Amino acid sequence: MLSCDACKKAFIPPKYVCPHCYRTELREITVSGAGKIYSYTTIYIPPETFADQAPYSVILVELDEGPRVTGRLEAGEPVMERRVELQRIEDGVYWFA
Amino acid sequence: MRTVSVTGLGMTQFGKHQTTLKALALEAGREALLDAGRPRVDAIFVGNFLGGRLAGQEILGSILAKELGLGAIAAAKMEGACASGGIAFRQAYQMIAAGIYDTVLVIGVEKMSHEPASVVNQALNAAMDNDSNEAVTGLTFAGFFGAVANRYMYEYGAGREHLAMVALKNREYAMHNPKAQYRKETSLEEIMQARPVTEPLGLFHCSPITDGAAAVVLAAGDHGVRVIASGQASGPPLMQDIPDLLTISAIRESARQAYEQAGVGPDEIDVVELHDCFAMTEILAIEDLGFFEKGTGWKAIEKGLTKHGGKVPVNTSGGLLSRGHPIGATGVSQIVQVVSQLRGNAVNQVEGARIGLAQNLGGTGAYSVVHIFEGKGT
Repeated sequence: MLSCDACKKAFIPPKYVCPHCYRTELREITVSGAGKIYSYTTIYIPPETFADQAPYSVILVELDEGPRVTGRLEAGEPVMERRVELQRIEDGVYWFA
Repeated sequence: MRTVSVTGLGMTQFGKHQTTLKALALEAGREALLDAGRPRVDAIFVGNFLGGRLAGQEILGSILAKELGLGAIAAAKMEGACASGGIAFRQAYQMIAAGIYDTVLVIGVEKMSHEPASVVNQALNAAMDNDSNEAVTGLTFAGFFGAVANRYMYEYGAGREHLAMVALKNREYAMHNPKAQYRKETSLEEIMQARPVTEPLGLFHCSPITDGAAAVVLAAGDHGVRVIASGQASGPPLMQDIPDLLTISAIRESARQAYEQAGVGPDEIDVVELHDCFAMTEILAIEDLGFFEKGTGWKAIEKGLTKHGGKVPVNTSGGLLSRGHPIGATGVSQIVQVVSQLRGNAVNQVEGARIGLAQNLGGTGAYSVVHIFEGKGT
């Protein structure tokens, strides 16, 4: 994640400006990557660029630290409240399992 | 602030047209101007979202001013994804109320059906923040409302059948609307068994790809249906930034402004057109517009409270789901229906309708515009 040192807020990248204090120097920080599934959907009709992946599940993970992040589930069906952990960030996509 | 009224209405058939973006806009604009008695127009505002991407056409304001013989007037396009039409209407209202213009033509238009669905779905993603992790994750615009629906059902005990009830109600209304896109009778079973789009939403729960245009003329004074309030607010475009996934904060805030300006509350609204881009969105909207408590919208649908004979008829036009959703036109067509209700000559007329509300949403709650109208009583 990206953190604004001045106001201690954390953001999912990309982030160009801290909307609170307008600083542009945002520092990279690491978080545990653990959380639970807050919601999800399985997409059957994808946009063109994702055509070869359909159907696929997109999940909204509530990280233990508080912020939520939209990501993908590596395998299996998403279930409400299931605990997940970040496996990797690839081309900006947060993959959980 | 001066009094502003709607003095002219125009609307094309909504559906799949073989004609052009320009021709559709002209048809609606001409009808509205004739309905208003061909007044001198001071400005034209156009609501349109994907004219550039799907039809290769910008500069719509200037083109339509020329083609309608309006002279060298000011022209502009407003864009706010699916709220483009409502935003264009609000601009016209504000300019007249402020005394800058006397009469303004508003046209909303969209031409979408000529491209394959995969191209259109890709284009619709412009209503999301594409410079974000969410975009590269493959979340679609429909997918967002799928995730909202799953959480809503989980937290409040609603079922898939409630989503289907919304779609059925709006289809039943559309069956009586000659301008609606989908008028074929359907059933809860057919709706619930339809092809999945994004779980739990299927084909009938999602607004269609539609061509169409709608237009209104607004004028200073009291010679029509009065616009008694206009509210607008923005919300987070990214799903992960939304503090409460089950509340569309932009709807709440835009409605709050409108109710305050009009000096009325939800109980005084006789008829509503709201933005049912997906069946789930209507359930949230009836809550966030203050008609029902948060988490109880699904029960209201089940009890029939949002149709004739209930508490307040919602989407008597058939809504986006069945009337159709030519994106830039939708906000204006909602206003056409509400004003028609208050004129006393609408499809699915609500007897004695005197105060009406139109709510237009953009993206994932990125924009919301609410207008309240007062007729002279039917």
